[in-house]
Amino acid sequence: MSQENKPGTGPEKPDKKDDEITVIVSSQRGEFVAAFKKTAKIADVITAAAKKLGFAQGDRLELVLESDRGTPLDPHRTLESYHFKDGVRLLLTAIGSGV
Amino acid sequence: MAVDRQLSRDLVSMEVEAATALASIYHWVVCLDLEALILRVRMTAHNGDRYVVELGLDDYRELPPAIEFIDPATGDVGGTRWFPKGHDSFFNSTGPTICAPVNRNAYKRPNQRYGIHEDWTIGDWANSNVQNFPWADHATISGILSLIQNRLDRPQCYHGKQAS
Repeated sequence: MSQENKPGTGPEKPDKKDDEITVIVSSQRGEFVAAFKKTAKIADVITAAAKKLGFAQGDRLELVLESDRGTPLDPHRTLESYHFKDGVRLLLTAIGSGV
Repeated sequence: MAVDRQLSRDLVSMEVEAATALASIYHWVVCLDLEALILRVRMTAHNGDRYVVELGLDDYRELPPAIEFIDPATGDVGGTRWFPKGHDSFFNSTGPTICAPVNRNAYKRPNQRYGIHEDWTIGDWANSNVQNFPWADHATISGILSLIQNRLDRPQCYHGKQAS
């Protein structure tokens, strides 16, 4: 369950709870900022970001750290398992398909 | 039917402007020749290999961009020494070319230097779902460049240049 901020308002949100973390997701369709439970899975972040940014259901999207784009984050792992700090910057990516 | 060049210029200008933030994240060096409708973007792969991607954007968006990798020194196209090698057929050794519906050069057409697919309809490029992938989500300049960069970023997707 995410608590969405407006893009550009920054990672700090006064009513964000201690058990939440603010995630900033960039993409080719703009930015998505929201607070998630630390126990939320990467897949939850992908789903929320994809929906907000208008990607089609079923698009093969992955999250990477902006600072380490070579390794997609495991969708089954939780945010806290990555020890992310509040305001972590992620990138929503796709590689398409070989056809 | 050809697209009015000014209309294409307006669309390209808007899309390139919208890609500014993404270009900063990916460290792209962007060079747009709006008059000629040619966009060149320098990208770096995970291992430090450098590429220059050229999008030919005449008749955009009626037709998809014509995507080439070019020799950074001479501007030549079609060389395997400046074309990536990947884990699947996206970076295709035929041509070589990017084999995706978002690339004009992937379609087999009259007077085409190469072109792989006779079975695709070029007019559907922006709504293609071939291989059950929603290409429509990525049928913009920033979307196309991101697909290429994301592959160059990942060791499992990018295996160096086609020829050294």
